[in-house]
Amino acid sequence: MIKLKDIKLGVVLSCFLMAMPVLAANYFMPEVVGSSAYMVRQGHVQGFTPLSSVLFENPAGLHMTNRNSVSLFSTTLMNEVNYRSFSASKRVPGWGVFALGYMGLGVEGIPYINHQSFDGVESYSVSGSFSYLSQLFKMGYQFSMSDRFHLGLAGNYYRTKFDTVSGSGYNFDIGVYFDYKKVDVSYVLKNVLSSRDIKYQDTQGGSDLNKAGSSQGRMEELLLESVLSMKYDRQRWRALAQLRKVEGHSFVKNASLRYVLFDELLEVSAGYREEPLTRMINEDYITRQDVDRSFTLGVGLTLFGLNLDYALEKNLKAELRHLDFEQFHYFSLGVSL
Amino acid sequence: MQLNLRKTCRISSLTTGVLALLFCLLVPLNELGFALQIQQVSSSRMVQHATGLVGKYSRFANQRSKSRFDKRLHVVNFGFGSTVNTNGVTSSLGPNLLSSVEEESVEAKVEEGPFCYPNPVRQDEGGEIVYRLSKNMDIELRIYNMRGQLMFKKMHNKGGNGGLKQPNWNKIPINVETFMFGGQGSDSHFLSAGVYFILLVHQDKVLGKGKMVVKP
Repeated sequence: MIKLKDIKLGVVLSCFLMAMPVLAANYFMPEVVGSSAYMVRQGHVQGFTPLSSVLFENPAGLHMTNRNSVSLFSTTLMNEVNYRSFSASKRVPGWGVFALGYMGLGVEGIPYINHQSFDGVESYSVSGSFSYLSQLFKMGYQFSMSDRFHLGLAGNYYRTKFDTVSGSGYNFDIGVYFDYKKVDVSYVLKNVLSSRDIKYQDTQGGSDLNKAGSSQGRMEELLLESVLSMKYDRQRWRALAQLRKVEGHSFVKNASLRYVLFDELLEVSAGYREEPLTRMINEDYITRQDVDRSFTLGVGLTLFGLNLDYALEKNLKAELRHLDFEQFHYFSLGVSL
Repeated sequence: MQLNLRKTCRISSLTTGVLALLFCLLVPLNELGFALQIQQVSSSRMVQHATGLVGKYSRFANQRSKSRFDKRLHVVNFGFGSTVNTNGVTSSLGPNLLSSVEEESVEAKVEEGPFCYPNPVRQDEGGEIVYRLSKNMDIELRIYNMRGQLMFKKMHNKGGNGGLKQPNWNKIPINVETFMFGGQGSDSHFLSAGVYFILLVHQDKVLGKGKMVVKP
């Protein structure tokens, strides 16, 4: 007689096996901002947020949530990029935890530019504006094999829309979580389906000289990402470390230290984050793999099932910072019942 | 006759110069500096006399905030000039007043832009980042992604493409050779579709901002 637990384990193992073949990808993931201020303040170490927003980090981490959990996260980057995140989870006795999540990243007022040339005199002017929106819809499920071993799956649906262009694609994440008293280990593979890309449609027609060509049928690939994180508890201290590999980039490291006060009512934390990216900042027009390094500071308050978190993030290299916005501030709210 | 005319020119020029000097001394300006100049240029066809004042003065553009004042340095030529042809016929005679704003003192600013043309721009077709500057200056073009991470940085020198003053539009090409749409390194790749933020920086000061969208 095959047990339900064995079927669940079989599904998860099959997913791991399907993830083996890998393709290059370069879709801009809205998740890079972070799932909550809680996650940001701990150096973006993933998998240990005790709220429904852990769905965006590692679906197996949903086992830490209460019977019902809701998380809200909103921030504006550089006075331009509006970022919203919402997630909710519900524990169903005997089945596990089900969760839903949404992330949206939008920019308004992007100008259309008109070019005119008359008698050798050129002019460029703004002739209107459009907006950009990138969305991620997520659906997750977590179940526990035992008190110490937890598994999770999440389906992702990506959607991007701007001007006459729209793109969509789907993929899924698979995660495990080991809970060994003082040591917790989280491992997640994101975008495990190697054959699933973002496909674009473009309704632009005609031959407008002020417009670029159509993007109809174009594709962007979703990056496979693997994240191994560890947490160590010792009295009032929590030490976290993470190794992360994004396809096509080298390993990056994250770490943080948390200190809890007043019976876990208040928590202060400091973190270090590395983020891989390809950039061209030299005079030789050569793109290079680089790593952005930043530090984070933050504080969290947990009161009557309410979680309030604040995080500050600043790039370690002054020359790489935005000149007008040297640091970013994040606030998030979570409710656990 | 020719000699008398030249003498008259010289006397008139001196008188004008002295009057101009007195005028300038009476005007309450923040900074003042004038020099009396007598000049004669002769060739086989003509003799030119110019006498008067070449001066510079500046005013505080922003009187309210002395700590953040901007000076505009004006160059004034005020005097008397004459051009006498070798046949004795005077082709021009009279006072001369010229005023200009010295290049170094012009406020460094972006007059128009930066714009990305076309916007959105497609990766493999390329485009241009265009802007107009108030004066020739070193300008750094920076591009940030939606996370505020610096993706591209390039310095454009004063007077060259990218650092030219108006009315010229500076045009920075966006294509696979010059931008990070491929680049020339082994790690080259297409830029992800999305919004990018353009900054024009002069001496660590942001002079202009713009938004561009890359379409796949």
